[in-house]
Amino acid sequence: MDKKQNQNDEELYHSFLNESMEDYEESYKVTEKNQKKLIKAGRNDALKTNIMISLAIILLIVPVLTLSSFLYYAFGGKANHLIEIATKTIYVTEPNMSLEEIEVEEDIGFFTMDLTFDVFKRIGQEDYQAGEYSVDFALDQPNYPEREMKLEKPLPITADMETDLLYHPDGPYGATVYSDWEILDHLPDGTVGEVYLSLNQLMKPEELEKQLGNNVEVRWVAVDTGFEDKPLSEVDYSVAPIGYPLQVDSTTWSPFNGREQSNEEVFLDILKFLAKDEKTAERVSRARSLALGERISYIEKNGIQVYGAVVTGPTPELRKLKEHDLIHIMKVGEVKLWNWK
Amino acid sequence: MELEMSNKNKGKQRKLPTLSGFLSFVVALVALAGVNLSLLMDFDDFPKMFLIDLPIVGFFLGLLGLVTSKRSKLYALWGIGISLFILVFTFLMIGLSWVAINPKP
Amino acid sequence: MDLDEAFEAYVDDLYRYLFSLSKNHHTAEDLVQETFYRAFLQLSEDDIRQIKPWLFKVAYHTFIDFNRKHQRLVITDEVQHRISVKTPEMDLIEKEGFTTLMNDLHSLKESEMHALVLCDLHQLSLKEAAEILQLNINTLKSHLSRGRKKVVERVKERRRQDG
Repeated sequence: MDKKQNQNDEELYHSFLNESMEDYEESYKVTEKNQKKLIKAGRNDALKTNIMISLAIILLIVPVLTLSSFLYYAFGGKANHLIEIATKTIYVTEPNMSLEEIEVEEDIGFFTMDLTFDVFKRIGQEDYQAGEYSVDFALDQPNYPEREMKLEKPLPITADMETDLLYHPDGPYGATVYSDWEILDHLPDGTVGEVYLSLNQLMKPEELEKQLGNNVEVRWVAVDTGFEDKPLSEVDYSVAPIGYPLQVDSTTWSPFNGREQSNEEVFLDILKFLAKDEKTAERVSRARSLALGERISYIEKNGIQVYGAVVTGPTPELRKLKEHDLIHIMKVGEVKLWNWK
Repeated sequence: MELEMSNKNKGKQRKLPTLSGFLSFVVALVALAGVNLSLLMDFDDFPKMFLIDLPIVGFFLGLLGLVTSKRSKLYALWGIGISLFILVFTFLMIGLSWVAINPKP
Repeated sequence: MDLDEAFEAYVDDLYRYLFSLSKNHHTAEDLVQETFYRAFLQLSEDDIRQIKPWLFKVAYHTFIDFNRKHQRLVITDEVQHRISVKTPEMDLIEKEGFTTLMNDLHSLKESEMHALVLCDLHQLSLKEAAEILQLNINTLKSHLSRGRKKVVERVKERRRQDG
C-alpha cells in the first residue's frame, strides 16, 4: 500500500514536473543576440578586471620592494649600525683621516644601501678634503669601498705593514726605507706638511707629544698591538697599522669629542665595537685582516704604546725633527700652502 | 543601485560594475604609477599629489563603491587597498628616513 | 572564441536556472552576465572538466552573493506581474504550469528548493549538485525527497480543491 502510494506520488510529481518543464523551456529563453551580448560583456568585464589587477600587481612591485628595503635597514637600527661601523673603521685604520658623520649620505635601493661621504686630512691647521668614499652594502654585506682620492700621495688601496709609512722599531719592514728629509729641505718655508714618523722605541702617546713640542701637532698615533714587529711568516694574518687620532675633535658627532672619555678609551671602545662585526669592518678597511680579538687583548695587557705617528706643522718646524733622537724614519705625506697661525 | 548605468543599446540588463568602485581602482592605479615613476626616477621630492591627494580620493571613492556596489566589490576593495598602501608607504618612508635611518639633527 | 561557443550553449540553461532562483527577468539576465564574468575570471584558476556543472556552480555562487546583498530587498513585484500576464489563459487550461511549480518550489525551504532546482529542473546528477551546493550526497538526497514530497502534497491539495 505504502509502496504503491509512493509510486503514485512519484508519477504525479514527474508528470507535474514534465508539464511544467515544457512550459518552462519554451517560454523562458534569451534571444540569440542577447546571448552573445551577455557572454561578450562578461568576457570584456573579466578582461578589464584581469588587466587592472595585473597592472596593480606589477605597479606594486617597486613600492613594496622599496618599502621592505627601508624597513629592513630601519629595523633594529641596521642602517645606523652599518654607518657607524664604516665611519669608525676609517678613524682607526686610516692615518690622519677624519670624516663628518653628519654629511654621510645614504641611498637605499632594493635591499642595497650606498653610503657616500667625504674624508678629510688635517694639514697644517686646516682640514682638506682627502677624497670621497662610497661603500655599497647588499643587505648588510659591504662591497670593497670605492675611494676617489684627491691627494698628492695617497696610500695604496690595500694596506699592509709596509705600505702605510709607519714602521715598528723592532720589525723587519722599515729596514730598507730611507727618510724623506731631502724633500723637506727642498720645500719652501711658506708651506705646511704632513709627515709619517716611525719611532726608535715604543712610548706613551702623551710622552711623544711632549717630546715633539708645541710647534707641531701629532694627529694620529700608530699603536703597537703585537703584530707590527713580526714578519708576515710569523703571524697568521696580513695586518696594517691601526691607531687613533690624538687630538680631541670638538664637533659633536665625532666619536673622539673628548666629552665623556679620553681618546684612548674611545679607541679601545671602537676596537671592541668593531670586533663584533669584524668581517664588515675588514671589508671597509684597507687591511686584509684586522685581527681585532688578538689586538684588543694585547693592548689590554700591555697598555697603549705607540711606535709611529702622523704629525703636521710648518715645514721649517718639521725639518727640525731631523735632529730628534726619537725618530727613526720620516716619510712625507701631503704638503699645502701656509695656513699656520 | 543609484550608480548603475544602462547600456545604450538594449538597456535594461547591461549594468556597469559600480562606477565609484571602478573609479577608485583607476585613481589608485594612477597614484601607484606616479609612485613607481618617482621611485624609479629617484626624485628627491615626491609629488605630493600621488602620495597623498590621489590615494585619499581613491580611498573615499572605494568606500562609496563598497556601500553602493550592487555587484562585485572587487574594484572598490582594490582601490581601497592600494590607496591605503600608498598612504602607509608614504607615512613609513617619511618616518623611517627621518627617524630610523641615518638621522641628522 | 571556442569558449564563447561552448558558453553559448548554456546561456538558456543558466538564464532559466537564475530565473527560477531570482524570479526576476532582469536580475536573471544580470546574473547570467555576472556568471560569465566570473567564469572568464576563474578560467585560469580552475581546471574545468565539465562546463555545465562548473557554470552552474559559478552561477549558484553568483546568486548567493547577490542574495546576500539584497536579502531584505523585495524584488518579486515584477515576477508576479510578468507571470500573471503570461498565465491567465494557461491557468484555465492547465493547472500545473510552470508558474505553479515556481511557487511550489519557493514555498520550500531554501536548501530543498536549491536541490530540486538543480536536480529536477536542470537534470544535474546527484554528484554534481552535491558539489555545487557543497553538501554530501546523502544530505542532498534527503533534501530532494523531502522537497519532492512537499511539492506532491501541494499538487494533491490543489487537485482536491478543484474537485
